Amino acid sequence: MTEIFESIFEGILYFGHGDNWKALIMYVIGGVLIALAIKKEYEPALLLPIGFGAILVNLPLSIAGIATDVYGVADPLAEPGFLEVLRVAGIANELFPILIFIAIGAMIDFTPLFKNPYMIFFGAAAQFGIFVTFIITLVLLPYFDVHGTDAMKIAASVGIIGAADGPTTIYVGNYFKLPEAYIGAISVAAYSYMSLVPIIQPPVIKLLTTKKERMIRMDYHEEKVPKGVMIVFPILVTIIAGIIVPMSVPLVGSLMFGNLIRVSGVLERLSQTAQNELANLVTILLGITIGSTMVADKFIQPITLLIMLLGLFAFVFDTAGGVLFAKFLNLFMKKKMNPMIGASGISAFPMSARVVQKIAKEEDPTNFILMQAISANVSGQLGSIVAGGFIIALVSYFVGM
Amino acid sequence: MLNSYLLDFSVTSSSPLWQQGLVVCAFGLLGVFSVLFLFFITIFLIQKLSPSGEKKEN
Repeated sequence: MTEIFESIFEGILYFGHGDNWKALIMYVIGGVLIALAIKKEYEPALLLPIGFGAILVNLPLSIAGIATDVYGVADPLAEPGFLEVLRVAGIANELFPILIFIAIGAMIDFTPLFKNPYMIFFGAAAQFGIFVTFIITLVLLPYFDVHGTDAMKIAASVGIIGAADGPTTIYVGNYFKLPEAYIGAISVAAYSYMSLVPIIQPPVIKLLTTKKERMIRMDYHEEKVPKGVMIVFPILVTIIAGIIVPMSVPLVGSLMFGNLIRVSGVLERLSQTAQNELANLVTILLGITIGSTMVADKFIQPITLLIMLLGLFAFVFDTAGGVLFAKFLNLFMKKKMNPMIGASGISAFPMSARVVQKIAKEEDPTNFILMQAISANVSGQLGSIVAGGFIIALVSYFVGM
Repeated sequence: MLNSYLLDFSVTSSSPLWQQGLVVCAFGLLGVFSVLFLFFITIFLIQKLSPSGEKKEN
């Protein structure tokens, strides 16, 4: 009789064994992510599926992920659940991030960059946070009992949160074969902070600039960019990146492939499909699969908090790097630029450019620097994937991969 | 090529972690700036070499 009851109520009894109660905390975390998505509209397309995935995978016996017994021990003979199938098919082999990049490439318009080519350097300066966070993480990890090559791999993956680029973050984390718990924490940090750009960036920008600097106006000339230029650009960028940083090819190549479809002018249907159907479909699958990596006993650890905190540092240092670089350039320029533009050099497109324009408008309602900010913002897309490629290449050398 | 540069700096996988980290930062930042500089040159050159769109329309 007892066995029948145990069998019927094993879902409830599950929480009484070992650390299984931690699953309840994951329901709260999942709920918070869903609430942020719905109430605050912070990256709802991602936070909602991530939140729901986190709840799904932590339900008793984890039928949707890797099935366990009532004690929370994985059953080696059980068929993998659909979330585990998706993880193996799309995250473990980096397929989803690559597909997302094709979609992003089809959405990006490089025209503002062609009109302000020098803005591309802000895409490099705003990657500063990646490298600063990498060093800080490397120093802190030994206190969490993480040493040697593991520390290098984790520091690289935490630093890349500063790329403000979810797919690149997942790609780098997967490349170094981090444990699932880290991938979950890193992805959640990357996507959460991306959605919090309007909250994170303004205080940093205001701290580093004066009101006078924020009011600087910049000229913008409306000119048509020849179609040939727009077509040759993605091809040449892929070749250059492929020769100099081969590790960045999957990211650069897929981004530029998507962009080539867009600018070619003969693949309108494919371009629309990449921008809509592909982007939406992969976003749904990517979100819920990332959520499924947030398994309670692995996710609820002090190091998760450290990752979240360092991810925030990375975003702050990125913003500071871009702004300070613009101020540095202003020392040598006759016609000063608005240093806030530097903050748009991160990859969070087009949120960061909008934030900069909003602050400029607050200071002077007639100041319009959106197009320059967008130029820096699309450069940030390029900068972040190149930085990802360099991080992979350099860290792989030291960890012997 | 990158590996040989790193070896020239005598920083290997057996060097202290902070030293390896500094090399990753230095080469990483320098690398990102260099590659984006190449992209800048590319944009500059293809715009110079390409006939302007507006001229074409005329």
